[in-house]
Amino acid sequence: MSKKSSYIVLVQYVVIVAFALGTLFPVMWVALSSFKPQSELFRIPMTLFPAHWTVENYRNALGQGDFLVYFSNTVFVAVVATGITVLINIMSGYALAKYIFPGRNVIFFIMIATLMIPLQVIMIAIFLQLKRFGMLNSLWGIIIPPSATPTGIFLARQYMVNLPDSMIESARLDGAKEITIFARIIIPLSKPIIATIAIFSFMWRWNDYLWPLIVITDNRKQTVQQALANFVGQLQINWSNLLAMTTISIIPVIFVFLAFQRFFMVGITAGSVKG
Amino acid sequence: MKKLVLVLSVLLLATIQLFAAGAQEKASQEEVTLSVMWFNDANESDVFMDTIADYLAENPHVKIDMQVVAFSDYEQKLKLMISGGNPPDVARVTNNHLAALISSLEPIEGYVDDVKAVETQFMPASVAFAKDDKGILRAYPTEATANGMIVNKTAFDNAGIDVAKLSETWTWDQWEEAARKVIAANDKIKYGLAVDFTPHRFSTLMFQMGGRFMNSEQSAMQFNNPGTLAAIEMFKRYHDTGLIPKSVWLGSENPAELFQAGIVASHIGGSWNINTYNQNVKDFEWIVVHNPKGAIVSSVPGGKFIASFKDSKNKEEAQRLMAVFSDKTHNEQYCRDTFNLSARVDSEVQYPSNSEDFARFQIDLTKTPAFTANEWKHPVVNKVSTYIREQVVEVLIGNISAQEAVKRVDERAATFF
Repeated sequence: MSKKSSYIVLVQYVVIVAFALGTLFPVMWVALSSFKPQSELFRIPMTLFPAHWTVENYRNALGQGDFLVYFSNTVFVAVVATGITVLINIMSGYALAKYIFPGRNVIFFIMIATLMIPLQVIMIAIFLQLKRFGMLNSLWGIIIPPSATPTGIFLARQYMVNLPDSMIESARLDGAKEITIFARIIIPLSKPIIATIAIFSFMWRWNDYLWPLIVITDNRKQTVQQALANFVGQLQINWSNLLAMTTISIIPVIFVFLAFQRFFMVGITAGSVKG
Repeated sequence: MKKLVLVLSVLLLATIQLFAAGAQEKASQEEVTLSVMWFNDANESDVFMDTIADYLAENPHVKIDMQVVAFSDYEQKLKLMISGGNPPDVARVTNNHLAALISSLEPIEGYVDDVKAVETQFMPASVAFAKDDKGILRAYPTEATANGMIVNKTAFDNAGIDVAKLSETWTWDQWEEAARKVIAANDKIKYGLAVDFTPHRFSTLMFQMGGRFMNSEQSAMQFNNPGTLAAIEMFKRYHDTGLIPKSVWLGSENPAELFQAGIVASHIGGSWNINTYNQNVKDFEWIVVHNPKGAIVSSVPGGKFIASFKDSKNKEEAQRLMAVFSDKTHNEQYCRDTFNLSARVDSEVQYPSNSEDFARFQIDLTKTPAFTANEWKHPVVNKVSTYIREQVVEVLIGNISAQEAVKRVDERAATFF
């Protein structure tokens, strides 16, 4: 490697590290501030590290409300909903990518068009539907209705369009049933897009606030995001409790991302290059 | 024979009556689960449950399904439930919620013997918020809030000023003189005053300078008046001369946080700040002072209420619970434990600390003219309040004059009448 190119690599690394630190700083600030006493939060000049470390904020926050219940509700919703979402989305994506049937493009277009409708616009209609189906105040009311996501179907379709048709045709000639082709050929080949949809879905479900707000009224069925929002009042914000619980709430998302990240980049760029 | 038939008939009627009464008693003791919707600033939902614990013990057939919703989405959720025909039995609401939801609330009348007697138990400003445009009471006032000034006492002491004594009679000119001395005497103090970035808090200055939003009949907006103009101009002068930090109204800085950091001498916030400052401020001493006098001394009233809805499923039981929760004993307990001012005229809340601070808020509240509450409950004032804030910001930036700002507000409001 020439001296010039090693300088370029060095500059690239410096820029990357600077960006990484810039991105990490707010998260680090939240995590470290959650160990500061309340009176230290507003001290000027601000400090990154606490002058006096304390776990009082965690103790207070966990004592206020049933955070273990909220966490288990959120884990249940995020895990089950992610499983259902992945299954529905890859099945829809596969059908739209590999089956030729009348109205295929129109259906795909309508699905994508639903992205343009904000949830706030259809909120009252959704509330009435959920009431009619008896899904109000039930975790299944959070999980089932938004399971099929246009973004997930779009990603799955774009990925599967690039899978060779010849492979599916060979399997058919060998006598494989459609469900066997889907389970034994398509799913193993679609691991990257499954991981991508799983990460997106898990993060969305974990951080979702508006949908649970519509569905849930019982305190014991609230999710973590609803509980976090309760720390922000009309006239006061309990920053210490908010910081402590926010820190705990981001840990599962980080674990899920780390578990699936090797598939993630492959999945997200799938379909972006023709070839 | 006739006699026998008569006796039998009387016996039969008596038996039916007896069974009917028994059935009625049984029905009234049937288990009722009241859905209660609440939002928290601190721990109010827990304190509510503690406060009504004795009522629940005496009425074991009543159960509470407490639903705590974040304040930011509270009104949206309530509206959603009302539209869906599924409102809660009881809800905690603010004076702003009342302006938007009052027609959906169940009147108190019909559930109490004498509604006028109920009204006299609460502060007139709180009752004004709780009544609809026909004068029908539709909510029980619980806590009152008062806008007012909180100062860094340590900084005033360092400048040799007895701020508690001075504030008993001070005017805005005297406050300005004192604030400049405080800045000069304290290295850390950079500003004299921080005002919350809300039109409600700005209206504290406006009312004090003799201004108002509407004409006295409330038939039209009259933001263009000498008092309001004087308040906007004073507010701009304080910004231009560095007495107020520009980072609050022209940025996104939280004035309460600036005060807690010890870099502003005074903060126009309200009675709710006492709780926060008690927990957060450890580096200096602070106290509540009386509002400086402009044309008049005035605070701005606000508050919280509990109400039931026309479509609530258990209105009878809900009204019974609300009446008990609002009585003197329960209200005092709730206000003491949540660190709030009581909305009752006969309350004698024994706070564990800060009694003098609460007393100063209460005194200023009693000096506050009733029209301040009536103006803030008017739907048009609520509709243009954000626009008012935008126009004040335009003045502070220097894009328009105060005269132009009040003219624009009156024009915008006229479209709503």
